Amino acid sequence: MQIHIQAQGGVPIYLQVMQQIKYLVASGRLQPGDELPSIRTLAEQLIVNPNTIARAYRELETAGVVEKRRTAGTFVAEAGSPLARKERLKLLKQRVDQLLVEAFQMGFDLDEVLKLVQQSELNSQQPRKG
Amino acid sequence: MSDLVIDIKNLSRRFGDKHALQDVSLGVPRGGVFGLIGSNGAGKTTLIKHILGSHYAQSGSVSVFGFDPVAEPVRVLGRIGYMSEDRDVPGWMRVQEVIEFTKAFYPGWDSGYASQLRELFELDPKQKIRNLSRGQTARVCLLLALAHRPELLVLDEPSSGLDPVIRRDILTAIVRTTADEGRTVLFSSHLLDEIERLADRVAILHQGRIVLDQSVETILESYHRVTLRFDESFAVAPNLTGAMHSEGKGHEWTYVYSGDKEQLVESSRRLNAQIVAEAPLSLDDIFICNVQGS
Amino acid sequence: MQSIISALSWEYYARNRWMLLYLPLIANIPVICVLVPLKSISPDAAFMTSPLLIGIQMILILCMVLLACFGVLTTQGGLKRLYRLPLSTVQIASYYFCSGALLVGAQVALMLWLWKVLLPIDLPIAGPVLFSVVCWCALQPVVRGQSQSLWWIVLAVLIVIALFFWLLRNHGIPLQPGGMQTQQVHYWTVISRADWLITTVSLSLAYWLTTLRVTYDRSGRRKTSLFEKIDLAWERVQSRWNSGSRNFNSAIQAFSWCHFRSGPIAIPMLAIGSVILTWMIAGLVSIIQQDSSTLLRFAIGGTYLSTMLQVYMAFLFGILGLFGSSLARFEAPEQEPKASNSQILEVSPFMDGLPINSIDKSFAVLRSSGRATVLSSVAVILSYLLITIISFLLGNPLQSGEGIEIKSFKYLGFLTTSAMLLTYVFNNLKFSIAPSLMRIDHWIWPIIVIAVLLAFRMPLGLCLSAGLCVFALVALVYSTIQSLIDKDLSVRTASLIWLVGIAIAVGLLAVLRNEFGPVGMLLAASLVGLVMLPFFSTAAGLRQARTT
Repeated sequence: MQIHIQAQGGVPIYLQVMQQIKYLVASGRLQPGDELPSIRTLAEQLIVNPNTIARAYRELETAGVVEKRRTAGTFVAEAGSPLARKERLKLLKQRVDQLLVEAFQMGFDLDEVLKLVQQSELNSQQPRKG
Repeated sequence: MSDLVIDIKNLSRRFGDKHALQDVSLGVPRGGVFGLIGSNGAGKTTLIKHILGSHYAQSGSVSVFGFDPVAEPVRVLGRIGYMSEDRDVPGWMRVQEVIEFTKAFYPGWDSGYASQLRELFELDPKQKIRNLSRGQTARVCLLLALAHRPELLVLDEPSSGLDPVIRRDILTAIVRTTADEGRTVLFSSHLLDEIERLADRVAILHQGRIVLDQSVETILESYHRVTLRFDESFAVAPNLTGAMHSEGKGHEWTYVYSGDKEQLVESSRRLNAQIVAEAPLSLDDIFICNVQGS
Repeated sequence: MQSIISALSWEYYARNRWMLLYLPLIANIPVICVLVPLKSISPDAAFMTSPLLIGIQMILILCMVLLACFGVLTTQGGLKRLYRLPLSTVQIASYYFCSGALLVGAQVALMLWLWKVLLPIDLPIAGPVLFSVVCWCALQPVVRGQSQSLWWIVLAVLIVIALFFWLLRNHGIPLQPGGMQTQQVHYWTVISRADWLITTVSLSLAYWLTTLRVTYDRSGRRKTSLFEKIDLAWERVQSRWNSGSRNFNSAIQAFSWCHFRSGPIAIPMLAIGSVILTWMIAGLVSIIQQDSSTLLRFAIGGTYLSTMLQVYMAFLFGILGLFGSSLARFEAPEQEPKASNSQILEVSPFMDGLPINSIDKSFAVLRSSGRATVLSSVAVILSYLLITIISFLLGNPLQSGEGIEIKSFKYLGFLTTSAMLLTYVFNNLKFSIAPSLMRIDHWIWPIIVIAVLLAFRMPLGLCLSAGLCVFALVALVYSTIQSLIDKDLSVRTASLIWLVGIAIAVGLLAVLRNEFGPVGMLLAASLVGLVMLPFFSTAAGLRQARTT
């Protein structure tokens, strides 16, 4: 699993792990039902305290992104579950908030932002036609 | 309360005029990684020497696994894997000889594991230790500390002077030791990114005193760097309760703040200031702040 | 050039000036202790110039010279630290060569002058000063390199021995056993042309060799010295021997092995080496001269020498062990002595971190020093045995006397036994005996006894040896009690050791009562006492060393 963490970056390590796993799930690189590496393996890979990984996994489980199956390990939760969707929504909302803050700081208003979004969508569809 | 592997109470130590340790109290719980940070000469090695029984407690008490390490060297040291700062294994011994030598002292020595580590670390058994590079010597010392699968791993500045490849070996060893149930690690380091990654708890030693002794989580959560924008311009930073360090000029002043979030909001309101920016602090900065005051 | 000299001189002075002051003063203490009482006993001037006294003074001079050299060397420190400075190699080598020679000569001159003032002896200063300068210079090529090989120490010892023979000759002492008693022994009053020649030649040679050595070291392209090549060859042989893995049955065995290899092993190596060398030389010379008695004469002399070397080496190691930290400071006086620098088992975080208690450690240490003693003594004894056998086969060619009592097995037995005992004592100097030396309460009784005996106008020799005997007894009793309190030894073991010790002492005295006067008996008893001491005091000493 391609996760990289950075110590001393200001963001707590367990949070970095959580965010990256959430991103992998949201972007589809981790499919529902995929098994996550064991706490010990991931800790060794990233060279962090296993308790940190354990905490990340715990909180991901609470958020419904992953589920722990007894004796089998930790697996990505089914996409359809309402909790998982809620998590993905939260992730997207963060991006939207970021976009809006930047836009307003640069002096654009909501209408211009919405127009930009629609235009981007059209542009991304065009190559498909061709 | 989880049982304490190391229990130090009110330990003080003088070398002539110099107070190496002053009223140090520390408890290392079982099954975690405990980091010891401090500047050079802060007393880290002295503290570790007390734990190993090389120094007797001039005042206060030291108890490891419930025993006094000075009085019971075999009981205590037999359960500890130790890597000294100097890494002073006898230079005239060969790698294989020092492994066999150390094996004789530990009943729990796992020869298979030792051979495994030796191959992993790519150590030539016939080479004399004085002909090894610094990094290889460190690997030998690490091997000797790990091979008997100790309950407590004590590492004194394990990464000092070593390249990233060997540091990785050492840190991985720490992770593996911790992952095994009930085993504890105590290590001292300057490199705070290692401490942040690996330690559950951290103690900062400064000029012989413990300045901070908390879990890493708590520390990182309770320190913030806040920038306050004031209505008036100040020549000197206005006093903010709970702030440890300040810099800035005019209307905007940045503080390193330790404590309750709500209190911060309250204090800043009282000073007629707005919180314009806020960021978490790295362990490096927290350490510097705690240590710079004196 | 001027400023370089003044800079180096300042550094010299600032670094360790107390050592320069203290050491010569300390060196005078044993001299004064030995010679001042003599002055009170016999103001007769002729007594002071008797062969025995001159012999004593000469040995004291040698010790003082060596101490002065050691002191100056330690204050100078290693040259390595200067290599990165913009100084030419010749400048570096010359400065320390010459300034050291000057300092050593000045120190010796000062000390001898003090002796002349305090004591009724008319000691000539010039000769010994010259000797000290030559000694210093001769040792320079040996000590200025960075080679790690221990063989350099051996070479230094050989050089000192060679110079000692020069000193002997100048005092008129012929090179034979019993030579010190002859009447032609005198002070070194005349510096002959031969002396000047020896001085000039050795000084130039030493200077040239030192500069060479320093140049090699500094350029970094130093070729492996001969000694290092020998070491490497020996290592290759060893690794082929030791292809099997070493298996230790217990922690004590492992610790004993480690202790043995890190120091005491040099003693049997030296003894065995010199015995072999002796026989080779003896064989060669006797073949050349076609005379079998030469074989025996050389063999005897060589074996004597081996015995002395064995004891001297043990002494050296004992002293090195005591002052090991100051040797480590020699290379880098500005740093704390790093444990990894010392070859000898000292304060070492690694060793101290091993789970072994002090009692077991003491067994290991005693075993290792016992091993060193036994191995070297066996080599010497076998050599004597061989001599006896050959002499028997050849029909006793040496019966005509010449002071070599080959038939006197008593004498040989005594020699080897005392060498063995002395070796054992010196081996255990650091942990077992030195702590006793440091305790004032161990000194009270000996001093009282010496004072009482002196008041009764007993001969000095008797007083001193009685004092030593009392010291050994006091230390022994204290340590026995302490070890029983600490439960290091069981009562049974302690009483066994006492019984055996007393039996050996009584046996020695009974066998040698005709040959020894009271002084000899007292010395023999103290020796046995000092041999028993390590059994009781080592554990406590090690315990003290481990935990500060």
